[in-house]
Amino acid sequence: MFFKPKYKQLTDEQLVKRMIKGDTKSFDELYHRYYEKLYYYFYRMLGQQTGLAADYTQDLFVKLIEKAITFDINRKFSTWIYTIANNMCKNAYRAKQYQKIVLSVEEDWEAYAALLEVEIENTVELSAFQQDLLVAIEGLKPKHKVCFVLRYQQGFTIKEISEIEQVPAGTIKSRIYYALQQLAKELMIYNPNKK
Amino acid sequence: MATFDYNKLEELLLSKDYSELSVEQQQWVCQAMQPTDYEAQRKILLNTPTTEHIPLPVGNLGDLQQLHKEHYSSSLSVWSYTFTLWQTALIAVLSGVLVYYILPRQIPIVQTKEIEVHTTDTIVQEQIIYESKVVYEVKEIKTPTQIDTVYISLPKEAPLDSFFMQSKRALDQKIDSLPTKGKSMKGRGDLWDLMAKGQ
Repeated sequence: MFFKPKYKQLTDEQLVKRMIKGDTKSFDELYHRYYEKLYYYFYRMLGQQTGLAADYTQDLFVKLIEKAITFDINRKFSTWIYTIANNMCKNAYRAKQYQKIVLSVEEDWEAYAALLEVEIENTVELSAFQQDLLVAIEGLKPKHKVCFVLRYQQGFTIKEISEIEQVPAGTIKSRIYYALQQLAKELMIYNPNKK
Repeated sequence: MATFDYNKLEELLLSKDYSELSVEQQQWVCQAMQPTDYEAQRKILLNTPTTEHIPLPVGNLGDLQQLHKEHYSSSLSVWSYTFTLWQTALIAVLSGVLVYYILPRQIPIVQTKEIEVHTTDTIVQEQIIYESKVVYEVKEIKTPTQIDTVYISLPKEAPLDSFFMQSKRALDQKIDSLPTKGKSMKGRGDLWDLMAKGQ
């Protein structure tokens, strides 16, 4: 403890341990590691509403501060924090705190962006296929969408998603496979060979 | 899907086009889907954006830091302070100097020694001697006096020589003053003769 710790080299679990002991810099490091990922997770899961995603992300870090003492050090921090985030999303679904935006891929991307109040100039360059893919992902059922987003946007393994969702790994695989089929069906216009 | 290995399918989807698959792999894939579906799903996985298309808003880290400080204010704050290398070296040197000057140079060795304590009190002994003196002091021998007996009180602490000299003088005076009865003894010599003969 006498040497300045290299926070970037510490694991998430080590940072939580130090954070509980009052180390603010450890909390800052965790914040910088997860803020962007969690914001985009909430953005994707809660109807692509920037304000709601920002509020939920802030609330999640408040929960992290309050519940960090209950964190099991033998568990992986990323799955723990995403379990909390996932539960917050489920509560939002029950309370209907977000308005699901139903779009079809045939609609214009600019109209879609305008509906979401997103500035086109500031957005990352996406191909037409990617833009339509995001719209198609938005149209998935929540239980399929969460598995797909966690696997292919957040980079979790099947086992980790199983822990976050608290369902068997086989169920997660089925949901992902189903989601893939649905997306392929939605994006059929990009597959001219399909009969 | 129940018997389908999704992990294997995902691995193929992320790595190879359908045309790149081996014959065995193509046959295995075709058990679950058409080649066009394989290509469509592969395109979806490869084009799924790992970063979102919207700018990231500025988070309110300040409020969270304040909340963290309030929540863990009772915790030891040494974790939040970090030392550079020169600070650590300075602390080590100061600690060494402090230990050198404050701690005792020689560590005292505690020795134990058995000392025999006499239980007899000398005062008590003196008191015993005093009491014995008292006993002899009160001792008094009373001898019945006779007309022919000369009672000579012995002074308690007088020297023996002077005592006898005084006694002899006093005896002489007594004899001289006594009235004669019976056999007269005219002189001192007669008296001494009488005493010698046991009469």
